[in-house]
Amino acid sequence: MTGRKNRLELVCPAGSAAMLRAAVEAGADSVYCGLQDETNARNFPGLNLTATELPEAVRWTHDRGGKLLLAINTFAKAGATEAWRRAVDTAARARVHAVIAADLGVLAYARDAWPDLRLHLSVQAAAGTPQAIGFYARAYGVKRVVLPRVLSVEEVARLTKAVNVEVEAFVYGGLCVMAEGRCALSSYATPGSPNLTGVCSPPESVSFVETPGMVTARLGDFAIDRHADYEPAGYPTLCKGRFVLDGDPAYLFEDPVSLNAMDMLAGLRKAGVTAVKVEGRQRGKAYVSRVARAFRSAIDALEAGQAITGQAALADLAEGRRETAGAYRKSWR
Amino acid sequence: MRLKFLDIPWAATPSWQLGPLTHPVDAWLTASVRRVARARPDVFRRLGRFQHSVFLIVPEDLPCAFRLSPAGERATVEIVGKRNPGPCAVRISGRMRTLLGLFDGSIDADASFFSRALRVEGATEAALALHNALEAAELHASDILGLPAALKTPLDRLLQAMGPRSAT
Amino acid sequence: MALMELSLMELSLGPLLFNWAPDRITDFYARIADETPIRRVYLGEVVCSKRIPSTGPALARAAERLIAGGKTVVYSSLALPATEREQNMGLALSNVDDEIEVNDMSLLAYRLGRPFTAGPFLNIYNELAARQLVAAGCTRLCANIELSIEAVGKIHAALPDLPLEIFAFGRLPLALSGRCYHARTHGLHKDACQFVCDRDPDGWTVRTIERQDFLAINGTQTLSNGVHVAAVAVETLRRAGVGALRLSPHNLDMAAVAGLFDSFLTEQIDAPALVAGLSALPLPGPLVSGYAGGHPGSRAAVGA
Repeated sequence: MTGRKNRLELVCPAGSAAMLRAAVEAGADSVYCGLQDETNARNFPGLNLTATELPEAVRWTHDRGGKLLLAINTFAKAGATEAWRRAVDTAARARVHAVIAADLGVLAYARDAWPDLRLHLSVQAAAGTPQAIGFYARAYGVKRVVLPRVLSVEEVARLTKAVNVEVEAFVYGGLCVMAEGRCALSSYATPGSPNLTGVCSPPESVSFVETPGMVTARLGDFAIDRHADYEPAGYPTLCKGRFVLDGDPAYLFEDPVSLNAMDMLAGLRKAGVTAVKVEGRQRGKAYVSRVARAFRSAIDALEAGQAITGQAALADLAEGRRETAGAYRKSWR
Repeated sequence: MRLKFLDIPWAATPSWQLGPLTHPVDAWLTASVRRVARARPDVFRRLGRFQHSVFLIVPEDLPCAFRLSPAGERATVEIVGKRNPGPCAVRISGRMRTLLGLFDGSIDADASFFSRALRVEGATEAALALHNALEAAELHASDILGLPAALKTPLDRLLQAMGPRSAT
Repeated sequence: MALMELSLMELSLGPLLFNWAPDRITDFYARIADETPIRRVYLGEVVCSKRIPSTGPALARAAERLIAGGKTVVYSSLALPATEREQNMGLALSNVDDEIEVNDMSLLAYRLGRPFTAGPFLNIYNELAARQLVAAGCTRLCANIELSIEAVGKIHAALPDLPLEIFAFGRLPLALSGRCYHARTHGLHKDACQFVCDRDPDGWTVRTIERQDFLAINGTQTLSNGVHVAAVAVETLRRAGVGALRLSPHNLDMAAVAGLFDSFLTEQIDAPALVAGLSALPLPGPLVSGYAGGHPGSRAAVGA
């Protein structure tokens, strides 16, 4: 939907209650979290909130005028869907502002068991067309869709005009170059995937093998990348690795860069986007404080009709120390 | 062994009956980790299946390394030499300031990792669990070093005065 | 055991994923029509709409040939429609009366409860989601490639009347992107790609920095290097509710592939013998079967 003249809502990640507080204190309008199990797509060891922490986190956030969104965005396991239904119950009882989901079964359960529970459509649902979004809106009453990162600003604008739900777009953090929720690269090489177990390129399968002067990053049986030991490294997410076709090793799928669409904020706002999202539940308090602060200033500057100047401030946080505006610029294709 | 770190002379602690641990600094660090375990059981619970793993923390700028076994109230920290530190689940190396910054969450782990200020060898998931547990815990360097209460604030202030623990 | 049970499992041919020349397409489907026991043939451009002017007419002719040969033809949609033109194609497809295969949720908006096959590109991982699709008109489901046979069985247990198909042969379609990897590797933009993907009729093998074959690219699609085979005992497949095995077209003697699978389904050969038989063919990669057992997809097939 377009025509809204409200300030862009800043949605920031929270991998812990401490990170949540850092995000809100740094200016986030909304925070999104997950529970400590496979029901969300950042199921890393030691990360996320326990079911007992959630109600207090909700209260704390709402007391400060913020909104807490709970991600239940993986796909329930065949024959063992209980954990996902329990997660929805936990979210509803804790009175979260919304649940972010992708699985048709999870959406249906939430709609039927908790009709007043606000539903957002996760990027994992890979709903990138007005038709797909419209289907979810009519069938499950989703109020907001998180867009795949493969769309350009023009496409975002057209799509936003064509749908009756709010639109949330990623503006910072790790880039996913494949259609999310439909990528099996990780599970081809390792026992985990974002769809099945909530982790892409799971740490259990990651190893760094040091040889004189070099470090090779491996995922399962496969070498994903190799660096001189003084070069910047990255977590060996499969699609960010270097591979060989005919010539020298190259970043075939994507360079290890991070998304920073701060320059696109004006365009996104004009396109009618309701909220902008920062990726990175696994990045910690220091990260979210800096990023939230930078985007808070940028959004406020935009609102006041001033120039946005804070782009360079976040450069050292980027994977591979490089940033991109991603697919928002069509030249990415 | 007398360590001179941050120009604070590390006084020998009162002797503790801690079984095989006889080194005073070992005992002191062990006591501090156990103190955290008692005060903050949630931190240890977060480690999940890694509560009994051995973490080898290797500060590049110190002559020794630390073997941490975070088994709650039976946690131990041993000081070991860098040459034969013994088996571990994961080895985390970096400058002391970087390691401290990671432990108290004032440094973005990913950024340190990207810049190679931090190196992880072995069970990556164990390092991740430790980082995530400490991140969530909001501990301060002084908690981790187990300083007597009187020294906590001066240390934290000193570290702050030394400037942000940059990721490089 | 009733004779009826033995004849229940069928062979399907999945949609052609690659950019083949029209002549090759015509010859290929003529052989499928005349020389194989394949029952259902899925036709349609799933990967890249830019190929349609070239492959479309040949596929349309193939449809006629297949129907004349007694096969059931099902029209498959694009898996990742993006542009308005692609969305309109989906709309047009949703409105045909014939059987269609839905590979993206967009089509459900227009299908309005009319019957469809849910393709393996949809993220349906459990019985709750499958039930939602059935409520939207789904009359057949091809399981997502990541699902183990056990998981398929769980879906079958909850929805015993829903015919189930599994991806049983071919390089695995692992991921889709808005970016074209063939074009990118040749230094071209997707919009000016020169159709370079037509150089690789089975995909372009990607190796790791240690020169180990790993993946394959096919335009905007990333496939496995390994050729998946559902090397699981027929009885196990049957118990899990599998009604059809889907073979994905590759540039080799598909009639021979279909023949081996037919022998397998009629229990003349067992799973290890199926694997051995397939290994003798000029496959684009080694045989893998990890997903069937709930393992990483790259795990080698036993007997490969």
